[in-house]
Amino acid sequence: MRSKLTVFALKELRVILRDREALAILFLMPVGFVIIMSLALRDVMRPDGGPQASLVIVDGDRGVLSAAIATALQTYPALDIDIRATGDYPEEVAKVRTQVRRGSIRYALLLEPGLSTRHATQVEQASLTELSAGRSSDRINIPWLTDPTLRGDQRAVARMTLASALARIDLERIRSRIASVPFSAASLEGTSDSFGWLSLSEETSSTVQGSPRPSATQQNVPAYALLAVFMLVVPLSGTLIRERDQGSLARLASMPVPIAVVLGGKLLPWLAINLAQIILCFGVGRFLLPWLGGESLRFGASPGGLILVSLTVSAAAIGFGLLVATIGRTTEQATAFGATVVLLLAAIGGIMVPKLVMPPVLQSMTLLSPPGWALDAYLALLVRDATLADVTPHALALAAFAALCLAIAAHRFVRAVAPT
Amino acid sequence: MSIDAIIRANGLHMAYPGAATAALNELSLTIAAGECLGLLGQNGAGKTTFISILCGILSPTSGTVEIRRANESWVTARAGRSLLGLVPQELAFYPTLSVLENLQFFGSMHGLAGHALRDAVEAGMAAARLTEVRDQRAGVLSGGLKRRLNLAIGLVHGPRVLVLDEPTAGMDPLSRQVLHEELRRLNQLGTTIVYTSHHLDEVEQLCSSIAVLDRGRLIAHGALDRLTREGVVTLRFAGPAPSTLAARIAALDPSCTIHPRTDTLMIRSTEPARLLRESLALAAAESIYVVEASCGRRDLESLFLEWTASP
Repeated sequence: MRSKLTVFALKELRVILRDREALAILFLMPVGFVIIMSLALRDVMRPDGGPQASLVIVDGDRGVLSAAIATALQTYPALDIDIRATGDYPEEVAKVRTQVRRGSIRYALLLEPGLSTRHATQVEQASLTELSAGRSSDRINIPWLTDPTLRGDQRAVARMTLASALARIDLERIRSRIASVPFSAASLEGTSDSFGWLSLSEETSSTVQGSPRPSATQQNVPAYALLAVFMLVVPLSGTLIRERDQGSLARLASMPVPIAVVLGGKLLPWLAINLAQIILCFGVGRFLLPWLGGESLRFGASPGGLILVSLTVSAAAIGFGLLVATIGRTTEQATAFGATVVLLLAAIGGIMVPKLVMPPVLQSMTLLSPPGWALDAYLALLVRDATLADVTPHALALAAFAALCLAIAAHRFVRAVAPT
Repeated sequence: MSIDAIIRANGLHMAYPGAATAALNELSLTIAAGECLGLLGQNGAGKTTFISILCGILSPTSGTVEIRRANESWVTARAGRSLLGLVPQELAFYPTLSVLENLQFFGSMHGLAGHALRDAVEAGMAAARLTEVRDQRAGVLSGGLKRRLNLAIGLVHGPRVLVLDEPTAGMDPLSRQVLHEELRRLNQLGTTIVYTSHHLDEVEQLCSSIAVLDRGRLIAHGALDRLTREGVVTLRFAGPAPSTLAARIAALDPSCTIHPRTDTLMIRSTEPARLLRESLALAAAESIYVVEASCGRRDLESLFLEWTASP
């Protein structure tokens, strides 16, 4: 025998599916936004250069070169240097790599064991031609990790700073080998990136995925899927208030139907619709956008994380919709209020304007926005290859928000259905 | 209290938050099993509030409503919700679902399933003569058919008590006739009916008893034929109606009901002619000057207007 909850949920789904115009808007709106915004911002959000603060040096070398690099970098006040001298280089590198991927460290320079010796040997064995040219055909790559969400300009300035510091070290080594050199420090201007025996080899989580920061696709696909998910507040609150005005809710209240069945019966079909919206948007990002000239969406490394975030953000949106429905006195009031609040939450949550281009004050305000929590979680999954554990705090916050909204909605429900 | 009572409301008081006056005020009412009770009152008298409490939708501020189950035990209104069927004023169903789907859904919410649900739905459609439009969406039905669907949903689970809140508003004559026939049939089969309507002629045709609410109070309750058989004696005086005379008239006919107004005594009695004669004799004996005296019977509408007129 089917439970009352199943019967209620199926009835609700049937009612929703028969409102084809509203349903079409629910699905076409996010798809339109995803396509338009991803293509429109494709070039704007393409990585270029840029500076930032904290730099960790993993010092497995613990030699003269690593000391020289640390000394050279400490002359740049824009960088906050943290030197981690370690005997277990691979373990420390793995740890730092994870921290960079999660965004807790913006830059990391990896100085492997024996780097000083290799560098000294190469300079000693360099030919006169190489010395006079100031560059080697066999350069030593120093891995450099960057946070994939950094702006391009921030990354470019940091890269120039590091390359310049390495070039100065090379210059000192060359000077000590030959008495007179045919160049001066001034000649480093504009050539520091290709000068000397040391070079930077940039590595981000996006080295694997092909983009060093959220691309327009990575930003806009989850962002506008979330906007669509939260926009359900409009039809959900509208139908609930219509049911109240038509007396259907009062009639249900006169039957042996628990409130949990009524609210649960509303929640389940909308959950299915929300998941369909998210799947559609991600599918458009994956398959349709590349066909239209945009970047294809990569789903990250944690399908479980995507499912968890999708389920909890959907529950949060439905809970909010039910809360608005029990607060609103008329359909017009509830839909206008609901839509306005959702747009405000979307604006401060980085849905409409990417968080990374917001000033710090506004970035901190995303903490007030449940859509912002969900977007942070999606970006962590898509851009940083975050794991299920990484996004669990976001999911818990969304689930708590959903539970709070549903509890208040249930409390207000009896008053909401009472005939006046 | 009648041994056949199926509903007993005791001391119901309902005050909505922020409202200046109580919607129900110490209302006590007993409804007998198999009774067809007309619940009357002006707009705002408290009828819908009483029905909402009776159906377990609202909880009263104080007081209780109990319903008797088939096994003779009494349960609260909330616990006894499956014993009642509500037909609200509004067309309380889903317009995008078909007639059949609406009945199946609401039947399921009453706990019906399988064959029982199928049979109940078929019976409900047949009773409301909706079988021909079973697959049509409720939203496209005519006004009368919508009202019939509203009724069918209320009785789909075979309730012991059917509560109808102004069910014929906007109904065409045929649909009204279908409704009345079905209510009579159900009543004959033992279903207790609580029926509110502003159409007093309907109440006179259908109901065996009436209860009249005025500003949250029960001001009249009894068998309809007894109430309409009663006559009204009106005595108007030159000054304030003398209370001593009222007491002596009450002693003449213990079954009469006296409504004192500023300069008038209105007395309801089953023997109005005798009471008028004896009241005038009493007044003359006490040298009380009666300006005007009349005596007559009232139909339900006249009674209702007298009962609910402002003092």
